[in-house]
Amino acid sequence: MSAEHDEHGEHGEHHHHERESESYYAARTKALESLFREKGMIGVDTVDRVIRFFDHDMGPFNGAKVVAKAWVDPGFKARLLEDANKAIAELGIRDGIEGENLRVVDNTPSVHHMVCCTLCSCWPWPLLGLPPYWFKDPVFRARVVKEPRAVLKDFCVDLDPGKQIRIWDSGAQVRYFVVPERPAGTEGWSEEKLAALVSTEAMQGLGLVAA
Amino acid sequence: MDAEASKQRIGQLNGGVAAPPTLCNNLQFEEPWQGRIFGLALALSEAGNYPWESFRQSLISTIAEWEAAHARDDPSWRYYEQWLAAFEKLVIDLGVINPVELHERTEAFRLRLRDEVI
Repeated sequence: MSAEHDEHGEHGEHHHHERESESYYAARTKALESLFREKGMIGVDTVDRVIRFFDHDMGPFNGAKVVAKAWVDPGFKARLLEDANKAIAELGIRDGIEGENLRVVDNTPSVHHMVCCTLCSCWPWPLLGLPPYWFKDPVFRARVVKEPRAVLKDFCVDLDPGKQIRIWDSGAQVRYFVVPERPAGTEGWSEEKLAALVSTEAMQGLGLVAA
Repeated sequence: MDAEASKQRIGQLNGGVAAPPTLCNNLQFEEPWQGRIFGLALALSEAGNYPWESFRQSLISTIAEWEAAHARDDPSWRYYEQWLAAFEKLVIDLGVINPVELHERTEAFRLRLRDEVI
């Protein structure tokens, strides 16, 4: 389309530029949504509502809450390590999928746990929300087992060479979740303040928590 | 929109490669159409047009075909292109969408012949 055919007058050049760039995928997606609207199978705001819901209501908040609680309450931490599904229910977190068990491992000054993701692995989504992009990356999945320290470096984690690394393979039956080490200088902090420090990466052993 | 049901549906994709990518704990869409096609597949299942498992199977087999034809670190990999292909296959197989009308409507949007705002 040329600028002369653009009906937007003085903004013609600007629109001209934008309007040239409709990709096949964008057009295909619009076509599908348009057809489903026309058939009355969805409303005009249906898709917006789905996207909004996932952006706001899923996330690692639950996992961070569990970690903060474990840091301040040794009794809870013991129950968490013993039977994670039961312990998270104490915090009102429901594990939505049947037949899959959650197992929690605890990072210490001498041992660093990492969760690895092989082809048939599972993600503890009730605690961590949707999995991050690296989780499903084939190269990552292969490397984490072979060279965990190099992978950690990619995640900006320089692990003490004296620290032992243990790798856990999340499978169809068991999903692993890491309680990271509590950072120094956070004594007396509220659970809420502590939870805000905890990242998704830390809860899979690919990050550390700093205050 | 049933929040719990939607979470469950996405949770069921989390068996590895079929899981949607996220960044900074939000869904990671590189372009707006990726969010649209994500929401469309969920919304239509929720409205009872197909069981979520049908979509999940279509996505898994679509990704498996791609992986069989490409190297593991092929940079052309785009998760939502797989999602779109899986969705298309499903709704065409179900007879909900006619491939000819889909092609024509796509061309209309691609060539800016249609004013509808999506």
